[in-house]
Amino acid sequence: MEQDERTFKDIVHRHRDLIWSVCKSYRLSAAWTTEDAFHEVLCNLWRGFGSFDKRSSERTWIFRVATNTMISLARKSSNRPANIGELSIVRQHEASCMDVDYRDLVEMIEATQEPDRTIIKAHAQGFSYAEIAKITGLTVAAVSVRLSRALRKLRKKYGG
Amino acid sequence: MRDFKQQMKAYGDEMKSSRCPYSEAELDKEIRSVIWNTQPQEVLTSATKLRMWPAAVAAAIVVAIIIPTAIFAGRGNTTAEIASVEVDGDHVYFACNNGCSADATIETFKKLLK
Repeated sequence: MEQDERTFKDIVHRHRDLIWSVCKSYRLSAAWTTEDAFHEVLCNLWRGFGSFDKRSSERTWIFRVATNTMISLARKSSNRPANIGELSIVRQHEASCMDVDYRDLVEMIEATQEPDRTIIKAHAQGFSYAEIAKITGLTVAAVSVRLSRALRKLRKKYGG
Repeated sequence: MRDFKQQMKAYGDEMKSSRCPYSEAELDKEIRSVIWNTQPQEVLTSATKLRMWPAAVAAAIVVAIIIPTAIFAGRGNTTAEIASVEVDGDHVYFACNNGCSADATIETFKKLLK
């Protein structure tokens, strides 16, 4: 196996959980499974691997590519999106908590416009403002303002 | 009153605790499939061009020009050799002895068929 392929394989192995997590957090049509989305993300990562200049961290690069892939797939699926209950991020949580409030929150996050939805998801994943700025192409200040505004809106809508 | 902060924390925890269900072997298989299926896209146009030639001519091109050139290109980048080049449908398969530079062979192949 070539060096590039070996490096790529190592990167994917290291960040497999992050990729999976991004894939399962988007609402796609019933024709798309999380496995399909995961495969699509890997294809895009491999296509973009040659131009990954390491100016951002591997984790940031992976999240950006995975998120862009999922936004694109979600757009294609928008004519027949799955019910929010079909999202595995909801199913898993419900299995442990059976919490309808949580389900509402996921629904609201999914309904948030881009780039705020990506900012919220990246923040939930624990990315710093500087990393989210690299993911979204916004400035750190803009990320900070947008995140706080998006969370405020979400809280108001959620009623908490 | 619903606890927004707690639910946001639960959302974050859920995201961070996600575990990819693939085993090491399954993930390797998936990655190999991605690399295998993505790389030949580069030569898709060239392969289609090759298929437009009569089969005997196409085979002669592969044996007389592409294989020796591909071996050369492979050696330029690594010490690997290409064992065979096979045209099947719209894909061109390069079989390597111990791993060769796919980019170099693809570039050579594309130049040859331009």
